[in-house]
Amino acid sequence: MILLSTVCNFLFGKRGVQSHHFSQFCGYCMLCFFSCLSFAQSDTSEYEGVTVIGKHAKIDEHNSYNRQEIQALAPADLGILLKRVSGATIADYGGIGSMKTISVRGLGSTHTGVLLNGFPQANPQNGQTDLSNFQLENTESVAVSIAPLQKIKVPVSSLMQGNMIALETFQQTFANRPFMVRASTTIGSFGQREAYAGFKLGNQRQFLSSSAQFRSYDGDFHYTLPHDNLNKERVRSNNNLTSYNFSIGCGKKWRTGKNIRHRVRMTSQVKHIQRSLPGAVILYNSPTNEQLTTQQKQLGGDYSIFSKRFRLRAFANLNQQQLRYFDPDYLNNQGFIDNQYDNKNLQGGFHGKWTWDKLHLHFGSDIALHHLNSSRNLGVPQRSTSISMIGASKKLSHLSVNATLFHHSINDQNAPLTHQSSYNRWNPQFTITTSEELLDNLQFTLWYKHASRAPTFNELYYSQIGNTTLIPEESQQMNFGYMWLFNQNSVNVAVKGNVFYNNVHNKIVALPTQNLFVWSIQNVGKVQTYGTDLSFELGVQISHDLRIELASSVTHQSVTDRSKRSSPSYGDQIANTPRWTQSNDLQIKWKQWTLTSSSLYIGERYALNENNVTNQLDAYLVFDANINYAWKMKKSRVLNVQVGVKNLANRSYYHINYFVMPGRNYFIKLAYEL
Amino acid sequence: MNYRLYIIFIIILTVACKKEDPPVNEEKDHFSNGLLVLNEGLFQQNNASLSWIDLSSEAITTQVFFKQNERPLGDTGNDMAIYGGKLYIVVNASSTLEVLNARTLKSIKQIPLQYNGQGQQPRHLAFHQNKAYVSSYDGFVNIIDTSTLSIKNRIAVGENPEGIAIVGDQLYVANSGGLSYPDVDSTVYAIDLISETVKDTFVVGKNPGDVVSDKEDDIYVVKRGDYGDSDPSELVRISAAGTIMNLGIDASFITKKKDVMYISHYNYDSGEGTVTTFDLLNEAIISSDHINGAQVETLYGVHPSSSEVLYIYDAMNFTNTGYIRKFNDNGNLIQSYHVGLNPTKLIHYE
Repeated sequence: MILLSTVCNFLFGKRGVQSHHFSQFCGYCMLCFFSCLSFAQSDTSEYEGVTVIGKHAKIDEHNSYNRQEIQALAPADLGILLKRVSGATIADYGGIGSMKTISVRGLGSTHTGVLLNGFPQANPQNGQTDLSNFQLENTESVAVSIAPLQKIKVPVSSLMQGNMIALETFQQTFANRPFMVRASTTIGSFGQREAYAGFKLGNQRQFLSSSAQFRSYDGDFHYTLPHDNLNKERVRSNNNLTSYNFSIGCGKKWRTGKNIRHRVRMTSQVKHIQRSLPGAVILYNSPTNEQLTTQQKQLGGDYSIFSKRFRLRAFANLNQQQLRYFDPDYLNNQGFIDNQYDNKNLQGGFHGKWTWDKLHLHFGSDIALHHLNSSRNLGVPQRSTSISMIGASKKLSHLSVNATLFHHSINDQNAPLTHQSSYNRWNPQFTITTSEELLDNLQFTLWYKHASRAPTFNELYYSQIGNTTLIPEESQQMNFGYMWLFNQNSVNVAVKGNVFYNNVHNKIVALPTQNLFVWSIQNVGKVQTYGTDLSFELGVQISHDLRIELASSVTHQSVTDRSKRSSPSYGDQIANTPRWTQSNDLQIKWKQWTLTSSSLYIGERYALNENNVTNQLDAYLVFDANINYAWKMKKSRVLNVQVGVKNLANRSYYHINYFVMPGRNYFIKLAYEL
Repeated sequence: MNYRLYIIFIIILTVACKKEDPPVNEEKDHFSNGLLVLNEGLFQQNNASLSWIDLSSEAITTQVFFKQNERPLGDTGNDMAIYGGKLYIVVNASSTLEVLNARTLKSIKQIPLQYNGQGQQPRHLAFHQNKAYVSSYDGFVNIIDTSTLSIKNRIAVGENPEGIAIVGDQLYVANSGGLSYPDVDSTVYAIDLISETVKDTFVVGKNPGDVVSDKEDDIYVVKRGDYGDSDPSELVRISAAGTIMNLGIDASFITKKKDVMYISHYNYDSGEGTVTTFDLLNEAIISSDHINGAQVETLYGVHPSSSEVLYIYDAMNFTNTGYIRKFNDNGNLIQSYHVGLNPTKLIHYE
């Protein structure tokens, strides 16, 4: 490492500790660059009600993954996949089965919305989505968007959020053939057992689908801790998971008149997740026996109409999430904790677009009703939310400009606690993008986005720490982005990058207000973020049978605490947020064989906001690799056999302090599709 | 081209050979003329630590436990005391009692405080006749033989016991019930140390914490209530005759030096910290404004030194490293020592 640092110091000059870290990082980058590869982007976009699949990058989609890319990377869940998104920090509490939340560009997990087939997955109780609850076997695409969007398939409430993850599944896309089947089974280390089966009947005008998933994981992996003088290998316990998921869907398209198309879709899903919560490793003590059970039911439907000048999508979604947290060993007067929560959410809205020549008028509104019952002393929180939007976009000769204004209205009521409050916020968004007429294959964009997120029910009412005087947390994002595409003969290149500045104020944070054991939630935090990211994609068709694809991205972001000038952590990088992240994906396709290699580098972080040596968490670099053989049979049937290894170097590491991650592990997967 | 390949080879080689930096060995043989500070750390961070302040050079050494023993102290250090040449450290979330040589700070034994495979979460300790008494959140007081360093017995007390104090052959234990908030406990038990059974129960107010005794066998307890205006955190006295009286003095933590009790209180709403001195013999306040509280960010306790100075624990915002603030007899700040996260206990080494 010293030699490496010397080389990099020679190249970049010596600038103390910062330079040392940078030079280490450069070493990792160079190593990864020469050893890893990836894919070209293909994206799925909706136009006039027809799904068009093209090989072109879109500047408003920050990162996107299609089904082939997801299958090649073989992530255990959505959280693991999104670790490669530039600017995203995934708080991973222990690998497969453990909770994972996302923070994009320092905004905090509550600023990220998740859309499943166009239906928001809201959880006003804690405001964040556990990404580990999303398995990707049935997923057609995953897209992460940060920039302002105008797509009518996105509900207004999601457009207003700081950033958004959109998933499209097999169950909600129209069929390519009369009968489609997908089935897979995976067996892996530490008791990983997964099975998935789904079918779809129909065609491009109608479909009926159903799928079922099962997942079980023992999670009893071995690990060692840093600074352990005994270098003792321990076994993670109370880390198991079992989940079931069943969903059905249907859809129909029809025409009235010459140019008016209609589409209606329905979906329903039931999910059950039983998970143990091992918590952080507490030195010298026994692991906990905490359990979390989640049951989720969803019923949704949408209707879309498309004509030459007018498009509109309306949706309604009913969601119920029941949580049960059980700690059989808690040292209170009962000897246990058994908390139960029942969230009910009803949401509906519309988003439309009217076109006159090159002027587009966007409009829409979402209304949501949220209700929480619990066994804790939270009262009975109820929230009604209304988000309305009006905007216009104009395509000029060399530029596209867009301006949108959102009105965010929230009414909270909790009769048992005699609390009632309402908030109103105006949130503008602006975008300027260069057109292809101005610069061929090169595009620039400049955008600004203001967003607000309401305090969650836990932040408002949770016993002892809740604070009913909270107001919404506000964020401002500014971004300059660029994209260059090159397609010639058998070579495809895409280079994308961003320079960004974010500001969060009235940040809702927990502070001790009575003593170390009695904390309260308050609007006192400020976070400032600036950074840059760069991604590079290369696809080369070397011969008819051989193709190589490479994707690489790097992000540097300074996400600093700006809450209180007199605080020792003022200006320090906020907890668990690396300054540097880097990912590389390499894919080599030869006949029916596909070799995939990927690496992920997460730079140094701090366990707490104060950036001192004690709080410092080591950087880590993790390699995964797998090989897939696609056995193509008659009638377009394909049997895929995939064998892989994760954490190839058997690195002992954790992202969150003392939430240990699994070492080297293996999997084998059989997947059949018709 | 050869040069580039060489660079790549060197990079691969050096990265592949990366090893963890070994801990720096800065062992010390003998600790004297200084302050040993126990830093509580934060729950689930395993960052409880010891800091050493050399009073002759005023140099500060952090992570002393790690340097002397090449392993972390554990999660959430709550109490620390010297008895019979040994230093005892109560580590709450790790559920251990660390026993060290008081002069070298080398580990003699780590006593796991587990019962039926579950951590007992120890909180405070006191000593009497070659026995250490350790209150634990599981509702027991462990009795540990200080010669054999083995657990001899455990006495069932109330919910989540906190502060303990010994008067003659009686052990007083404050049962907080803090983990059942808002249905907390409100009792102090008197335990006969001969029979090791509960002899008396005193209802002192909700959520009792620190306990201090005086020469006249009076017991002072901080009943923390609900920390709000309706039931503030105040000082309560149990007289030797068993009479209970709320003295109406705001109190968060109490400690004593000879016949003077130091009562620290931090008002989280106003951000003001006060230290009140109380004459235990005359049972009267000496000063209700003993220090200039504006010079402390978050008052987290007080340690009266054998010399005429007072050391204040400053927890800052509980997630940043704290300070030991040294005040002179006039109540003015004369020195600050930057220590670990949430300093909670201090021992003055002569």
